[in-house]
This record gives sequence, C-alpha cells and structure tokens, in this order.
Amino acid sequence: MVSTNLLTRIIRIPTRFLGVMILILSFVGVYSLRNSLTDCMVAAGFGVFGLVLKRLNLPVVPIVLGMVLGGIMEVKLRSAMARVTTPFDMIDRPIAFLLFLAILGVIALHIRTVIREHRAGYADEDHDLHDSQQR
Amino acid sequence: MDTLLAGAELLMRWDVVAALMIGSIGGVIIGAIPGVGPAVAIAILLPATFSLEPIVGLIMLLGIYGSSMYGGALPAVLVNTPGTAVNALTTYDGYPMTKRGEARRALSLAYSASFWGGIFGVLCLIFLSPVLAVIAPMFGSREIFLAALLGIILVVLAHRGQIFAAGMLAMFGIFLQTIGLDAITYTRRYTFDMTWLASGVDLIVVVLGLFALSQAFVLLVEPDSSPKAQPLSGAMTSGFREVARHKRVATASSGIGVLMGMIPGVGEFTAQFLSYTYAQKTSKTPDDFGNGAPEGLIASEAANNAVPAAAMIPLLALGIPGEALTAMMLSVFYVHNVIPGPQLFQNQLD
Repeated sequence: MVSTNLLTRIIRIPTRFLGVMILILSFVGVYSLRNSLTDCMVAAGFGVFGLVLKRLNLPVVPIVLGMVLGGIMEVKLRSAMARVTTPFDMIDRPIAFLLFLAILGVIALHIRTVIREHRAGYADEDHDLHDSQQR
Repeated sequence: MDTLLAGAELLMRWDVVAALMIGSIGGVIIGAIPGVGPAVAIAILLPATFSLEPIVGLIMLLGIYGSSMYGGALPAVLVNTPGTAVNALTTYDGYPMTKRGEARRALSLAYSASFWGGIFGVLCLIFLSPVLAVIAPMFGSREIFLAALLGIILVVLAHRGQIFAAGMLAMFGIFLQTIGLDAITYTRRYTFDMTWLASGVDLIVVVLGLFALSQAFVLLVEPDSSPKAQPLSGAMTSGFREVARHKRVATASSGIGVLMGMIPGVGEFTAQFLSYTYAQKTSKTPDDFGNGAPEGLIASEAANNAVPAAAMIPLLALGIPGEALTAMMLSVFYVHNVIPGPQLFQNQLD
C-alpha cells in the first residue's frame, strides 16, 4: 500500500514502449531455448496467428491446453490400450467409471442448457430475423 | 506435517526468498500494467526459469501468478481499466468508489480481500494435499486419460457461444502436439521429411507466440492510450476491518474461487462472476452493486485470488493443467524432469 503512488505511475507507461519490450524479451527467450532461429520464426508465426484470433475475439487458451492435454491423452491412451481388450474395460475401475459419468454428465448438462436457451430465445431470434429481413 | 516443515525450511533459503520477492513484487507491477497480464509475463519468463533450480523458478512463477491479480485491482479501481482480464468485475464497484473520492478505501478493501482469498486458497491446498496423496495413486493411465478428456471438454464448453471455434482450436492444439517424433514408437509424423519439423513444435514457443508476441503486436498496432489516473484521496481506513465485517461474503467467495480453480477450464473469470452474483443475491442492499458496494469489491477480489492456489491442485495431483498458466508451469516441471501426477506424491513430497 505504501508503493501505491509509485504504481499509479506504472499504469501510465506508453503501450508502444511496452510492446517493444515484450517483443525483445520474447525473442531473446525463444532463441535461448534451443538456440534455433526456426523457433523464432515459428513463434512469430504463432504471434500473428494469435493476433488474428484476438481480432476475431476467439480464445487462444484451447490451443495451449489442447497441446498439453493432447500429449498426455495420447501417451496414456496408448499405454492403457495395451491392457484393454473390450471398450468397457476402459471404465471398469471405480474412478474411471466416475470420470466417465462426469464426462457424460457435463455434456448432458450442456445440451440441456443449450436447448433451454434455444427455447427461451426462440421468440427473440424470430424477431431479429424479421428485423434483418426488413432492412 | 513433516512435509509442511520441510516446506518451511525451504522458505529459509535465500535464493527461494529472493525468487519469491522478485516474483510477487514483479507480479504486482505486471498486474498493474493494463494490457500485460500474468500469462504474458510468465510466457516471457519461462525460458529464464529453465536455468534456475526447479524450485526457485517455480516459486518465482507462482509469485507472479498469485500477486498479479492483486496488482490488477489497482488500475481497475483507479482508472476503470482492469489490469488483468480477471479484474473486470472489480471495476464495477471499485471505480464508483474512486469517483466518490474513496479511492484509498477501495484499494485497501481490494488488497485485504485479495489477501483473504489468497490465504484461503493456500490453506485449502495444504489441507487437501494429504487427501490427494491418498487418491492420486488410484489414478492409472486410463483414469488420467479420462480426466484429461474431461479437462478438454470442460475447456471447450467454457467458451459459451464459441464452442465450435473453441473445439476446432483445441483440435488444432492436439494436432500441433503430434508433429515430430511420437513418444512411444518414435515414428515421424507430419514432418514432410523436413529436419526442422522432426523435433516437433515446442509448447513454450507456441505459448510465447500466442500470448506474449500477439499481445505485443496488439499493443503496437493500437494507438497509444494512457489512461489518466485520478489523484488519490479519501481516508486510508483499514480495509481488513471492513473485510472482517463482511466475513460471510469473503469466505463464500474464496470458497467459490477454490472450487472453480480446481475444475479445469473454468478459471478466474467464472469464479469472479459467480461469487459476484452470489454476493449480490444474498446482499441486503443488492441495488448498491455496481455503484461502489464494498461487498462487490470483496467478492470479486477474494474469488480471483483464491483461484491460483486451487488451480495447482489438479496440476500437482494428476499432472493435468486446467488453464493456460498452469499449463506453462507444467512445462517447467517437465524440463526439470519432475513429472507431476500420481508419482509425485509417492516419490517426492516436496
């Protein structure tokens, strides 16, 4: 709390300066990982991709989590498959079964809310459609 | 208990303390800068932490993660711009208080509520760890596969209205991960016989590109906008007392934060939103919300500060990250050959 006055000054750092700082630090970081310039190019490519996603208001988090969880899923699935003969063996242990139920439950809940929202919003949507046609 | 003491011993080492200090002070500063969130900061710092000892690097990142939400409240209260995305709801009640000339009261409230939420989250992590150590060995490869699948589904479903796009992006992420040598039989996949693709696409490179570089581009293409801070005014009454008066709101919000933190893919924003709605619904004066109600400020700040510690629970117990920041931390673990998951609790309890 003592440093609050100092911090209020930090809020006013110009964004251009910040942008350049981030740019420099990130490239140094990427290069130092494996000393490879290709990594820098790849990172720059993903930077542009991220900018496009941000402009389209799309989230970037699913990509990162897809990468991490996808890797875990692949390894675990392949080592589990070695011990599984029928698909039901996948869920024959209590925790596995619970998790399977949780997955089904989450999807079912989601479908239910979608249907409910659809019903509730049906009148509105109809109205909107009408509006846009008139225009 | 032994492990708890071992943890305390760790806190006596000078490099750990230094990392914690740098991390948390840096986190507050980074959180306070609008446009640079903890994700950007951690992405930039990731390569640097690889040369440090794992515990030092991790503690620094954790410090940033925890304290950036705290710093993010500052611009939210003072200039109506959330420092990080998760402080968005703090602006609803924080800024009206500033306009009323109670900026200091709002800030001390925000700090105390953050403190409350953070401590609550950490306590939950400490008390849940023994339970986790019991449950975690029951997770074999099929359970972890299913948990990871559940995580992906939750993350995709969390993006309401964009589920199709989020699903496609998650698929794209899974595809990216398959490039290069596969982990079991070492066949080359999607390399097109090009050497630079054989080693795969590194997670950190992608994270740096998607979080840090894209944010840099956004900052560079958009016109300069430096918000004007209003001068501080108002009484510097102790926010702790006020938070203690709204104990119920603060504790319930922290609880919501912990729960939401544990579920993969839900994260701070939902936690904050839920606890804000909860506080509003149970409040005696719901109309004050949005016009500078202390409960609203407490609810949003306590909830988002309880999340970081709770988000560590699935990461440590199962090795399954629930959001981008814990995914980044997972890569720190991997680089140092510490594989979080069931084995972590059995082999090394530190």
